[in-house]
Parts: sequence; structure tokens; C-alpha cells
Amino acid sequence: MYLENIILHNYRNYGDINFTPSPNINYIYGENAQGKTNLLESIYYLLTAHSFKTKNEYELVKWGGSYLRIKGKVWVKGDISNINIYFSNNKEKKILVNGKEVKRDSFFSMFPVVIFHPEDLLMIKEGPLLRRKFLNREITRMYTRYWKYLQQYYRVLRQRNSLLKDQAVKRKDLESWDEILCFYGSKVVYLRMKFLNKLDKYFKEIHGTFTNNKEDVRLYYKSCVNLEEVTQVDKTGKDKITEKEIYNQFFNLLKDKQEEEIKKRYTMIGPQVEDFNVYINNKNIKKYASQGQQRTAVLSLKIALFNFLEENNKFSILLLDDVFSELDEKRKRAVLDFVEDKGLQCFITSYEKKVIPAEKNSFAVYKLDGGGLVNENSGKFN
Amino acid sequence: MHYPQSLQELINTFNSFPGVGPKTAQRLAFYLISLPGEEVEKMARAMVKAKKRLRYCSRCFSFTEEEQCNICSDTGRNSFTICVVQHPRDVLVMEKTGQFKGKYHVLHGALSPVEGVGPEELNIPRLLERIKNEGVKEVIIATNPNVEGDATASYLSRQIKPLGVRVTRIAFGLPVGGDLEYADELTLGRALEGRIELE
Repeated sequence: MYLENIILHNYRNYGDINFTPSPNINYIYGENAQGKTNLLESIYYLLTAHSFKTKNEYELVKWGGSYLRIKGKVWVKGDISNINIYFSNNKEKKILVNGKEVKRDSFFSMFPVVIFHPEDLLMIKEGPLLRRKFLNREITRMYTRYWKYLQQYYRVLRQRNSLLKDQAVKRKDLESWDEILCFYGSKVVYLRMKFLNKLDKYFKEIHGTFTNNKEDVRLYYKSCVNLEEVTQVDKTGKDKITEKEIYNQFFNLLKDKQEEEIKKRYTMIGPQVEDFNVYINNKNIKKYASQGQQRTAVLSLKIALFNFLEENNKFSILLLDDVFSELDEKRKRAVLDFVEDKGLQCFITSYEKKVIPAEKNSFAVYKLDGGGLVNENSGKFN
Repeated sequence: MHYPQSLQELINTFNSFPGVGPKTAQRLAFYLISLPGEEVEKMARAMVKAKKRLRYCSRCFSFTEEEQCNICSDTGRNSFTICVVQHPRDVLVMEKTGQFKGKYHVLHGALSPVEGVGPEELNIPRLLERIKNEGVKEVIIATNPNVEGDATASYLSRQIKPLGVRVTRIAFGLPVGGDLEYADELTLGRALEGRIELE
């Protein structure tokens, strides 16, 4: 998959821009506050109709403007798609793919894109909320049914919690919600475990490359149910997580917690409180790793995601925002080698030009200055 | 510009209908006042008449003009099987199949703590009485296939089973005559879970 062209109108500091990137590596450098991240954000927005920077989409509309429009041409497996997104200040939003309107939910997994940006580090440093968001977003991309299960789960949870808020809650009333809670809850937990188990394989591989196999990493899903007990060896000798077992454990756990839940007045267990951890050499990265190690791990995680998507026939574009700060020379080199070897379309931003070694002459290099983008290979102004 | 008070009142009335927004309300109001006087009076009479005459059936809580609805008073129907539905209109839908010859029980809703609807707000106690008094052998639960409908089914099943009565839930499946590719993931997933052995 690659982006052939993107046209922005009233987008943040850009106003109007028409950018035809290289199908390979695009290296964009410029001083701070020139709009490097905004450019990557616009590409991400074109492909997902979501921003990775803000929840408040009004911010995306150029100051003083009343709407924004982003258009783009994307090639996926030999077919071209014309994407057209319109967003106005009065909340109207339209997504057209080849002239046909597409709903936001289904659009989200149509054009996979993987972004690494400095704030992703918070995913490791902070509480579980960002990690759950990461899971929910990425699993939806991989298994579209996940989002529907999650929505249903939250609907049950809202009902059940509302019941628990009632002081005179009756046990039999509560129990009638348990089956349906476990029904959707076990599906959510199952897909999360399955996803992380698979992602773990790619994560280990790529992190090994980046660190010369000096660091052994592992992803671990922290569930209310016991992972070992829900994993069974199947006929071919492989470990297999069983959804039914997750359901049973979840259901029994609800029974055990009933008294406590009635006292505390909310549902204490389930996907809404679960989390995952990253381990380096058997130590939790959150507590026992340096900033540089954490950064590399997040980067490995994102690239693992890219490889995972690719192996499932979902080819994506890689966006690396300010990826090189805090990485040592070896790791910088490993990242550049990876993107070059893959032959994928990639957008890298940096405040300096000197990171690129002289022999990497296949990179398209752009200088971003005052909202304008200059192609240094051709001297063309976009 | 302000509309005359009576027109505005009419618009507001339509606007309070389910599924009718301000624009449709306005259109309906203008349509109504464009009609001949006797047409409007006929409509008003129909509304008042329906409201005056209709009441809930004392047994199943569907709509009727009598003490009991025509299904409950039909002695030709099997009274050992009760089909539980959420809304009176669901009775009509089930009747259209022509396949169900038992009796009904209308809950008038589904469990929804968020909206303050518990078992007492639904006609559940009355259903349990009927099961005990009428010698019911099977209860078919046909609540909506959503989260609230499922929880209601679960609640009913827990209440009814101890009475030694068979409790069934209508199957989750695919729309017949349609294409598999148009089914959404949730429906298809549940249809897969509820698959049956071929003879």
C-alpha cells in the first residue's frame, strides 16, 4: 500500500498543500514548530479519519476556517482508492471512498497505517488507559468484529453498573446480567490474548534486530482470568487459548466477587480493568528500564504491528515521528536499514538532516519551512 | 417570524412523537391544516376512539377492546405454551408467521437499569402467576436479540425453570432469503454458535 498524493485544504497551519510523496522513504526535516507532526497527522487522518494527536477535531481546522477537506489517492494491491474527507465546525463529517460514503467505523480498518510518535512513550510510562486504547484500536484493525463485541460489552457493563449503584440491588437481578456480560467479555478477552500472543512473536523478532539480541522482550496480558488455565495444548501440540474456558472463569469469578461488588457498587472485573505489560529480560519495562530502552521497545512494538498486519495481508504505511531522538547510532541505523529493506512507504520526520548516511540516496528528502515543503532531490516546492 | 400560537402548538405536538424531528413535525402540521375540516375531525375522532376503547388484555397485556384479547379468549389455541414478547406489536409480527398456536405474554419493555426498568416495571410477576395457574408446559422467550433482551431472557429463565417448566429462547440466525456476505459479524457469529446438526 502506498499514498500517491495528498491534498490538504484548511488543515491546521497548512492552509492548502498538495503533496506527492515518494512510494518509498520520505524524510522530512525542519526546525521545531514547522508542522512536521501535523503533516504526519494529516496522512494518518486521511487513512483513518482519526487524529493521533487530539480528541477535539475542531483543532484540525485551520484557525478562522469553518471546515477542512483532505483528499488523497492510495494504492492497495494494484487498486487505486480516492479518499475524500470533509469535516466542518458544526460537526458534519463525510468520508467518501471512490465517491461512495463510508461510515467512520468501517473506514477505520480499510487503510491500515502504523504511527510511532514521541507521546507513545506514555503508553509505557502511564497507567493502563493508553494501553487499553492501543489494544482496542489495533485489534479492531486486525479483527473487525472486536469493536462490535467491545461496544456490546460496554452496553452490558453500563446496565450492570447502573444496577449496582442502586442500594437495594437484588442478587437475582444482578445475576441476570452476568451471562451476557461474560458472553461478550470473554470474546473481548479472548481476542486480546490472541492478538498479543501473535504480536509477541513479531515483537521479539524485531526487537532482537534492533538490540543485537541483547534484550529479550515479552508481552504479557494481565487478565482477571488465569492465562495458564485457559491455555490448553491442542491436537497439534500447540498452545491454544479457549474462549469457553475464559467464559467459565469469568463467570465463576463474578460469583466470587458478588458480595464485594455490591459493597463497592461497580463491576470490578473484566476487560475494562485489564492491562498488558512489556517485559525486558523478565523485568517490567515501566519500572526497570531506561528512557532509551523504553523508546526502543515502543518503536519495536509499532514495527511489530506493521509486520503482523503485513503477514495478514493488510499492507500499511509507516509513519515515524521524531523517531531518532534518544536512540543511539546503532539503533538509528537499524531502523533505517529496516525501512529500506522492507521496501515500504514510510514517512520519517526529524529536526536534523545529518541522520541519513550518504549511501542512503534512495530517500526522498524534504525540508519543511514556514508551512512549505521543499523536495531537496528535485528542488520542487509542494 | 413567529408562527401563530395554535400552529406552533400543533408542531410541538408532532415533535413529541417518536422518530419525528422538528422539520418533519412542521411538514406534518402544514399538511394537516391544508386538509378539509371533516378529514381532520375524522382523524381526531380516530385518535380519541382508539385511546378510549383500547386497554390491556387482563391476561397477556396485549391491546384489546374487551376484557381479554381475541387470542387469549380463543379456546382453539394451545394454552400450555406461552410466547413472551416485549411489545404488543411483536404479537402481530409473531402472528404473521402463522406457525405459533399458543398464547402470548407482553412484558412492555425489557430490563434496563439505566432507564430504571426492573422486573417490577415489566409484567413479570403476572407471567409467573399465569405459569402456575394455567398449567403452562413451555415458555418461549422472544425478547429482542440485544443486550437488554438477552438479560431479560436470562432473568425469566432463572425464575421459570425452578417451576419445572420448559424454557426456550427463539434462535439467533440469519435473515432467510438474504446473502451471507451481507450479514454483520455479530449476527453471523451468533448464528455460528447456534448451528444445528443436519439430519
